[in-house]
Amino acid sequence: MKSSRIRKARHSAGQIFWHLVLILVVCIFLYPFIYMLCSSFKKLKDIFTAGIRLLPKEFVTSNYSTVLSRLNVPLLLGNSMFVATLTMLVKMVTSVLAAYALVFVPNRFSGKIFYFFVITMFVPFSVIMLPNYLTLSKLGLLNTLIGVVLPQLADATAIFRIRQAMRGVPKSLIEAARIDKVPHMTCLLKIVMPLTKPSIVSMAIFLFVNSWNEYFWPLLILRSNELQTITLAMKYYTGSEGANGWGNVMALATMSIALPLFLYLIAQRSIISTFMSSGIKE
Amino acid sequence: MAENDIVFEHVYKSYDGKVNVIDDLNLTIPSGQRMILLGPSGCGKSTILRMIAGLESITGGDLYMGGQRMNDVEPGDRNVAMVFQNYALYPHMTVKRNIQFGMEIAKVPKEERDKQTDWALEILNLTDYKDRLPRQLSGGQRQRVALCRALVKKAPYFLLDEPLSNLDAQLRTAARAELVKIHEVYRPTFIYVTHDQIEAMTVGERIVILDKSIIQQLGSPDEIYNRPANVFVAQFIGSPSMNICEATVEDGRLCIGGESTPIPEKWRVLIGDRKKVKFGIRPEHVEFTRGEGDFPIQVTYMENHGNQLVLAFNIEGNPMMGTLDPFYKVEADLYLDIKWDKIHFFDADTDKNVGYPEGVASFTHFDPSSFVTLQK
Repeated sequence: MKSSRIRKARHSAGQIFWHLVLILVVCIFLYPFIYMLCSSFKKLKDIFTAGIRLLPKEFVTSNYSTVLSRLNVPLLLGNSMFVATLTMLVKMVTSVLAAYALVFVPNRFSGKIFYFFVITMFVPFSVIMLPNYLTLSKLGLLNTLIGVVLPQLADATAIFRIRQAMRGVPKSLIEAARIDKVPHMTCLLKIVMPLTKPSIVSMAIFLFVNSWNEYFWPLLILRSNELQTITLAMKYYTGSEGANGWGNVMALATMSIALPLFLYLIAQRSIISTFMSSGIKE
Repeated sequence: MAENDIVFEHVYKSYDGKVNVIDDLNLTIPSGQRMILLGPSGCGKSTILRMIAGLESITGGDLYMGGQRMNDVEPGDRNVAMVFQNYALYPHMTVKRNIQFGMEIAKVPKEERDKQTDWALEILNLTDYKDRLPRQLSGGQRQRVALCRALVKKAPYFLLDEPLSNLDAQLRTAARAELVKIHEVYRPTFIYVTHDQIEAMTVGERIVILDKSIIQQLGSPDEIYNRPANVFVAQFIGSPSMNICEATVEDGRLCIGGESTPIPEKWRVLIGDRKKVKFGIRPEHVEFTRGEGDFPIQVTYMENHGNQLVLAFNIEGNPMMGTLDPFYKVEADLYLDIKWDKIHFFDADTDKNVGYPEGVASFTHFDPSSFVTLQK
């Protein structure tokens, strides 16, 4: 009785310690976001006040109205949306198909093909930046949104991750389907994808957010104002207006992360609610 | 060749091109029969089943099903139904969907699908569970759903890969009867893989015993039990397994250690001029006499199983087991009393059965053609 109480106390002491650590880590990660959000409602003078003061002295929305009046925010969001959605969709389709083929339609080259894919993940962006630029220029795709999307599509991350998830699907399920003459496409859509839904959804969100946040590549190839993405628009404030635009930058940044953040929250729910429990008894 | 025969002709299977998992398999599974593939793990029995299903390629030789060569036919085109060891139920589909999925693919009209599903659910007492997900079912119920799914296909070949191995002992007994019942519904060619000898004896019409990729014996449960082709089969079938001890034959006497007993004439003929044999006796055929008998024994251990008394004893240092009536009173000075129509002799070198004398009781349906089918 006594010992169990001690154990309980020790247990909860450990829990409190780890929760404190977790809270600290969360604060470190959240601080920039909270700082961004608060600063977007501050006057410029307020932002540069010394000391750590998060909440604005005077709550203003002028940063937002300035940004909205000077920039065509709906167009910027639309461009980003187009690039991120297209990138995500094409990548998901190719990656899901590739992963399925690697796992469930194996041949003697499958292993090698997979490692070939994986190797591409280790090639740094700076190495392929120039060849990609030249290729796009030959294709006449510089200064187009398709030009932003195209090089992003060749990426094995999603193949790798979805393949891992699919490997968790018991082989016997696919064999049962093969015996019932289920075509591969039906097998993928009706059996494999429902069973790997959490991984597929989270991967889709990850790809979308990644593409949304892409800065350097669009900066390199987009010239026209009407083709700018929302992340690119940030450069107008940091570059041309220098220190004057910090409140505006914060407002723009807040607007730019709103959508990915919203998607992420949806995805989180879908990932956590693991509806799946196997009918397989291994 | 009958309608739904399965014939293996010189079939080989190798994964790495070096070791043969299946070595020159010649086997005919007659149409409509319940054939059991029995053997210890790694003997190749599941590989044979998977070759029939088309899930495993054939390295050499020919496989015929219903007279057609099947080596390169896709699993979906072989018209087989299969029950997997882990049931392979789709976890995200209800019982009903699981059963109907194959029919949906085959474009069976909805009315017919529902009819078939209800029929199968009825047979296996699952009607109340049709809207549940597999995870909401017990192991026995999942196993029955898997049977339902295979049953509605009404395929001429019904393959089962250790379907009962995940069930507890009690459920297994009930499920064995269910399997026979299902086979009787439309008598498909039934191929059943197991490592459980009780399942093999109770479900099988014929049993193939495999060891180390080679068929050791093919026969009815009776033949396998009463006329084991070799020491492996003799010891594999039966629980506790058959007592085998090495013995010598001198001047018509069976000698174990320093003790000996005369061998009846009918056995002497079969033993021939062998000097060394392996003597086999099943635990249930062990009988004792007091004071005098064939071989003196020393009791080492006893277990009361309620329905029987299991006795471990020695004959001249050779450990043996006997199962006796639970009320048998074990005393000192016991002798093994050999009933000469209930023993077995095997060649000491080849382990093959030497055969049985004419007129030995309870072996009336002995069929020599199914006797030793060792292929090497």
